[in-house]
Amino acid sequence: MEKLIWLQGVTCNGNSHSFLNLEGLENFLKKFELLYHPLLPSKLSLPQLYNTQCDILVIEGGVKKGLKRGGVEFVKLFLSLAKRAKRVVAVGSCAVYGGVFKEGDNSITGVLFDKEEKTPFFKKLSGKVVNIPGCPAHPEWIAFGIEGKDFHLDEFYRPKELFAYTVHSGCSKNEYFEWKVDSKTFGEKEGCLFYELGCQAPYTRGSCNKMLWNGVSSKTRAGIPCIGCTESSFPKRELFKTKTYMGIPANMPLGVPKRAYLTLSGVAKSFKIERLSTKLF
Amino acid sequence: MVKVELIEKVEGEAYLHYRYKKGKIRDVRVEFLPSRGIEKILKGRVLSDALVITPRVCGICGHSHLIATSLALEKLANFTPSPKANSIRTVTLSCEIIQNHLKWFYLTILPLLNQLGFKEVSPFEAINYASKIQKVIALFGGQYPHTSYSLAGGVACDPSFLELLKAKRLTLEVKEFFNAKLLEEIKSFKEFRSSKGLLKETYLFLAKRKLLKVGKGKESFLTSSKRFKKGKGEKTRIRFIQEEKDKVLYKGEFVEVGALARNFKKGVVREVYRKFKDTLFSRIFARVFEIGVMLEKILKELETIDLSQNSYLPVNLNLSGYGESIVEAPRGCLIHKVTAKNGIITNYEIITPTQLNLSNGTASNPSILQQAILNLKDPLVAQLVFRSFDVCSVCSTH
Repeated sequence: MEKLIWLQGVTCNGNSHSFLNLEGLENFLKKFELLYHPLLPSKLSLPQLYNTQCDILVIEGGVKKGLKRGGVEFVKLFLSLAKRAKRVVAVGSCAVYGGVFKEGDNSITGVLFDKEEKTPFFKKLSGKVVNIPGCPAHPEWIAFGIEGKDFHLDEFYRPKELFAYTVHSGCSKNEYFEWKVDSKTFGEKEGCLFYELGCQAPYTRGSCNKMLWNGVSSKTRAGIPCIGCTESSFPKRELFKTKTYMGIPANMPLGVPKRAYLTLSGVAKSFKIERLSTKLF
Repeated sequence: MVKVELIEKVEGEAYLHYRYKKGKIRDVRVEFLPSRGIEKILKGRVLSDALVITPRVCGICGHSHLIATSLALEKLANFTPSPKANSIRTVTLSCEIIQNHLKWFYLTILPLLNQLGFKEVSPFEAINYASKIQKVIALFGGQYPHTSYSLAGGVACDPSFLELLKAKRLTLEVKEFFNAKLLEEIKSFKEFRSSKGLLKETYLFLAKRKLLKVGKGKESFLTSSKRFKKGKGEKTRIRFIQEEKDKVLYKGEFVEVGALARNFKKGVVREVYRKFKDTLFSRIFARVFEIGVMLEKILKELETIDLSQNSYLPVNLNLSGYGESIVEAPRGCLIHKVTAKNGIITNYEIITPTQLNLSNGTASNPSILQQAILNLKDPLVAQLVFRSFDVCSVCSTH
């Protein structure tokens, strides 16, 4: 049975709690010998972790020199576990890129990446790391990072099985996007949040609308703009307002040339679709 | 004799620095990890960005931070949201309290009781129901943890009757579990004594070990609406909450916040409080009992939501001024204070429940925790008292 340790750097515990929402958590965990988790009952205590051999090391939170965990220098503890582990799963955007706390302390980094730059750990660890960003990461993504195999990794070591999609894929507001019907205000079922209200879903990688959150919804389905939390740029500034350039969204849907976008949106906008311009009910 | 103990799994870690004399604890000081700089991160950002940043203080009560931010921004903008938005916020905040209390009881209290001789209880069924109640948050907020669905102006969602029905169904499922496994519906302490459930078993165990009345506090409570001192209440004013280096005081005095403070004047908890005062058992009872209170509150609130009202009304946040809020987070009063100039945050202050309960006082004026742990001998019992405050390390190190 593979041994699993879940270690935390600079974190809010959000991924630990998100993971508890995994459907079938108890059965999932039966497949592993859980040596340490920050919330769940586990065999070892923090001070016992240094130099322990584990097969899978989950790391949540940013990497920061000087931080201590269980009385041991965090970086030393992390490396002692990572070098013995078969796989390191960096869970959450803090462990992947540095994340939200990096905004206040630039020395905080992810395991392999410091925003988009490679960290000093990259050379030593990149062969065994799989990155599962998100703030927090979806429990199914975390489970996939832990037990998946033959990953198709992208340039940020994220499994394409989860991150080849954009958050926009599967959004229930897609028709409004297609026909360029904007939401001017929050709190309405109708309209797309991309044009005015800051939604980053069309250029943010993730499967939030492919596998729903808590099994029932997603931010964009509930009318909240995607804040781009799976990307290295998270958290950007002015998150509830779309940056525009000459009235056109400054960020294009992923991989779409501006000219193609303008042509298509111009055509779409020239039609008034009655069903999409009125209240649904 | 000085002894340092590492306490784990309190949403992070804490070090307890004990001073023992003749085998008894004479003093304790609490040390958390260093601050993560959330207040600094907020400076220079536009006001609405706080709705995304502050939930990231904490993975288990981030929603309370979101609501606290929304209310502080609305105070700054002098805006009152619709009753519908208020009701939806009440529902989701109550859900957060329920999942917190379930996790607290099953993941931090029961394992420790097990070390003291209580039966072993698997946490997974309770975790499953904690997840179920989070689905209700997600129905309105899109996801949990870390939604930003509550905004200055109301809520971003526009639910239909479909969501209300599903929310009700999920809440009733959690209620069924709660009544079957944790605590039956009781109207008096007498009924509790003849009831079945884990809380009753906990009571019997603590009684057998003579632990019901350990951890006595100072009979000094604070809620978001009332300050109680020796039973007498006065209206809470945020300006009287002062944060100093390693302590938070209300008008110069230490106060206990959380489920016991919220409920000690109400119903069965009032009876329990009369018998046991502010002790270990009262805290455990109040927090478990509150799960039932919150479930009823959700069901009631869901009935009152008028779907024809606005979810959200635009609020101009290009403002200068000051806004503040106080919210009942799972673990007690949570305070947010924001100052802005032309829509840009110039100062943001957060005071969390754990800071209030776990302040570092002096020998002559101990904090609530220091008072509660005084004279205990067994470190495991001291840890149990410590955990009875439902400590949140990450909130304290915002």
